[in-house]
Amino acid sequence: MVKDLVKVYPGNIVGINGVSFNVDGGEIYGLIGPNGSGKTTTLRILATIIKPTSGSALIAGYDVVKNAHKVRSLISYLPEEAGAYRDMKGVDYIKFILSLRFKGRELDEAIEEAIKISGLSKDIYRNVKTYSKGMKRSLALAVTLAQKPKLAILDEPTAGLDVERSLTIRNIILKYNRDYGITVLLSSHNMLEVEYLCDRVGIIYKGKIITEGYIDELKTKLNAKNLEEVFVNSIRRGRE
Amino acid sequence: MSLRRLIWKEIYVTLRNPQIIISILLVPILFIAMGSLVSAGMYEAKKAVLQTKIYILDQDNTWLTKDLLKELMKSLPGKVVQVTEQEVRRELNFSKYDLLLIIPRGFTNEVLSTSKGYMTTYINLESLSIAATSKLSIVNELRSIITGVVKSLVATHENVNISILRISVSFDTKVFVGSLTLKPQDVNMLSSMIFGVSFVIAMMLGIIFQFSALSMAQEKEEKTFEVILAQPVSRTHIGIAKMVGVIVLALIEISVFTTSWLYYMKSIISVSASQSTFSSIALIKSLGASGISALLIDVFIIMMCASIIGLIIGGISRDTRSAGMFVGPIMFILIIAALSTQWLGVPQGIPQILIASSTLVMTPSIITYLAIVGNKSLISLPLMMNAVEFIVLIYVLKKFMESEVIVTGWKILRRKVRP
Repeated sequence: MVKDLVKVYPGNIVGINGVSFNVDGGEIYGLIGPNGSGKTTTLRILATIIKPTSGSALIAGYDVVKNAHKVRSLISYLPEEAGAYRDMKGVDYIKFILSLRFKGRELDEAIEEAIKISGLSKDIYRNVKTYSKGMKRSLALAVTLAQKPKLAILDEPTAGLDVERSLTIRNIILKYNRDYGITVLLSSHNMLEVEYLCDRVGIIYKGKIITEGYIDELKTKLNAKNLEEVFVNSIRRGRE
Repeated sequence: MSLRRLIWKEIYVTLRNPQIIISILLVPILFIAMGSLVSAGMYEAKKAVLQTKIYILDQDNTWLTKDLLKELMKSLPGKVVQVTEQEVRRELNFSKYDLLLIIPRGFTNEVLSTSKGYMTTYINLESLSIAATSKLSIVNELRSIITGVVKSLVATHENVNISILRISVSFDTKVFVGSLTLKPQDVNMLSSMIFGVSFVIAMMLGIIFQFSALSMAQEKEEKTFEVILAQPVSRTHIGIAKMVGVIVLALIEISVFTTSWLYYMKSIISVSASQSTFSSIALIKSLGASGISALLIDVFIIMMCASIIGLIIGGISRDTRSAGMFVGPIMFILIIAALSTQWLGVPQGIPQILIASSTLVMTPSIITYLAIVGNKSLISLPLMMNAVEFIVLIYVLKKFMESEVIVTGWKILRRKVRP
């Protein structure tokens, strides 16, 4: 639950200006908006990376500022440009990140799962510096999902991936959401992707949620054929 | 036309790289600072030589020594002071005297019968800086003056031509540094060794600082930092893990460096082995158990301090390039501090010791010096200073790791904040 979240960066640069929304357990919620609207800032606050200037955000009842450590154990976060250590092998990176959360048999299972999600097959034993952008993204996403968190925060999960890989990744996100009940909060510029994945969306503009609801309801409400039109119409209204 | 645009781009991009600008600015500052240090050292050396008084105890008390004293007082006005046996006995360790020259009983007889005379000199050095050790040059000058005067006096007394006289006067010189008694040739060796300690420490701290800053900045550059920060691990642990990793790496690098340096020192020692009796083993022995313990503890503390400073600098930087802006200047400050111990010496007073210790890099040479000269009561001072700094830095690191500056970078170092 996010309520009146405000983030002002040094130099009085307003990141978000009173963002409020609620993500229900087990749903996939899409946060969409133009560049610089505050999507990444919101996700970073929820991932306990930065602190809000005011307002509150609770994840499974835990405050992201006061109970940051507990929140971190409930979430997994895929940053917008998540990378991996250049001089590590893909498999070692997976082992390292997952070992910060799991031990023993649980860890082995999570590693195996992450290798499977990544789809990197033999490439997983190569150094990350030899990976393409798409391979790095797959690796990062695999680590994020294999943690089987209560809430997966995905900042543009398929950015930089080709069509085929993007489709695979979307299906993996759906599978994890359905099979393991993982709640997903994602941001994306790809309206097709959001429409394909999300139950509900929140359109953020100039640091505020200007439209929120189920995609079909929004289409009807805004007399739009698809989510792209919902987005454009909302932004136009926001400007007015 | 396109070549002109390409050249313009190269110059434009190069001049907008802060690392390059800093290195351009750093070169003149480096030479100005080094020049100031050398000039201050030379000035102090000159002052030390000019201010040194020569105290002479005449135990022989003959016509030759009396005339010698008169001539010396004439040729070195205001610098030569005659002292009595009682005065010298009162000052058993001769610490009151900068330079004490003793003309022993039988000197005149020896000169007249064998043409060879021996005198004893005691020099008191307050430190091992170039300025302080320059006093040693007075001894050679004095010996040559005395030899000339003695020749001239004997020639007049014996009524012979001075050119046929083959008289030589030798000095048995002992140098006091604190509670240490050294030969003049050992003083330079010891001074070089203490400088070596501060130089190795400066290099080590520089490497630790560089590794720490780059390690933190690299996490940001490789976009792995946010992934780590979102894991259920304590942020202080992230910092401590980085410190330990960096120190282990730096120790490996510094071991290679020190071994190479010792090999170089050994080559120098083997050349001057016939002259010096002071070895690196003698240096270690002279530190004593308390000195060695204090030195080891302090080196450990300052390594961690350097690492914390590096982590903070890396944390406020956006990438390795902006972190690199700090690496050059800090390395330069460390080298200057190491050089200053050789040129200006190890500080003596309590406030000076505390100020110098706060630079971290100078503490090991201060501890080494205090342990060597036997001033063990003061050793705890620089150690405590560094321990306090460490506690403060650990607190700052803990707060820093929890702050968001670590993610967003410091405002001055950010080209653009993404809202």
